[in-house]
Amino acid sequence: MTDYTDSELFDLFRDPDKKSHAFDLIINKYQERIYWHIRKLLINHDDTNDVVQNTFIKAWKGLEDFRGQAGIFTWLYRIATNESLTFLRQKNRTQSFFPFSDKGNEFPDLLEADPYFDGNELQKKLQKAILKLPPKQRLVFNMKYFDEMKYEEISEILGTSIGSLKASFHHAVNKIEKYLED
Amino acid sequence: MSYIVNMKETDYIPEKISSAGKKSPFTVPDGYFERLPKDLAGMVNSTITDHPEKKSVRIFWPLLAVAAGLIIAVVFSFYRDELLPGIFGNNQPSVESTCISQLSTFNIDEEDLIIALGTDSVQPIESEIIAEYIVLDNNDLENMIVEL
Repeated sequence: MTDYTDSELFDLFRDPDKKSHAFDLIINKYQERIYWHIRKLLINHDDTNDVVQNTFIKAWKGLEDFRGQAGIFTWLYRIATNESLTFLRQKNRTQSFFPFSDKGNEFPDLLEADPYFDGNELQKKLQKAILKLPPKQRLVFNMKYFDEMKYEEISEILGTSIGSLKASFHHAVNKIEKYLED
Repeated sequence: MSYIVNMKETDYIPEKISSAGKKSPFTVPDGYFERLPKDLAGMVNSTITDHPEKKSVRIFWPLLAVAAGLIIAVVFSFYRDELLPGIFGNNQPSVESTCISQLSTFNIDEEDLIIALGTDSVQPIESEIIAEYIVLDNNDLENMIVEL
């Protein structure tokens, strides 16, 4: 449906008469990739849906000032990542008010209760292992392993050096492997 | 050295992990991605129409804050003695009034008081000063003269 390049979409967006149409095209082109990126971090579908909406609303507000140095996809990915991390921080802060909650086990429990999880036992165990990782390592592992992104692309999105990303991925793989052995 | 070797090996994925595959085990509700563009377009439109209301609220709040500040200032000026008696209150009697009230409780003779104060500390008043006081400050001088 959408065969436009990022720069064509951006040019369309800058035309006041075609602005809404251009944004519809951007949504159609990137909605699934953005959704899955957020979903792998937040697990829960409803939480993901909220963050996807925030991401695209922010994109709508910010696209006017977007200079196009990075592609629209890289820029959307960056917004989605920041929104997801903000969501996780807020969730952790809220849970710190409840003394009986166990933050370490909260995400795997979410996985067990998720009606939209269709994986086998091995996939479930892998996801549980990923959820035990700190947010940044989880992010890097998902982007490298599942999304098969290059370190250069991840570096551009996260604003982190390639060396640091490699170290994060290396630590993540070691921790996941150890968890799967237990 | 071992750090550099590890950096080169970072793309290596152990079999325990790779055997789980790369396919996402998550699913979405039926028709979710068909509905999402419409939902997002609706939300974007609502943010556009919400804008003017937000602006009016932004203008309204500073005015409300100024009005509240004025009301507080007026109320405070009326009731400041009651609200902050230690700072503004006149509940504490002045030193002069305390002395007068204390003197009134004792029956002190004026002559005894002058003697007690000592003659050195009492300066005699020149007759010219007394005359000047009578002429300048006493408006009823003519009546006084007539009466005399």
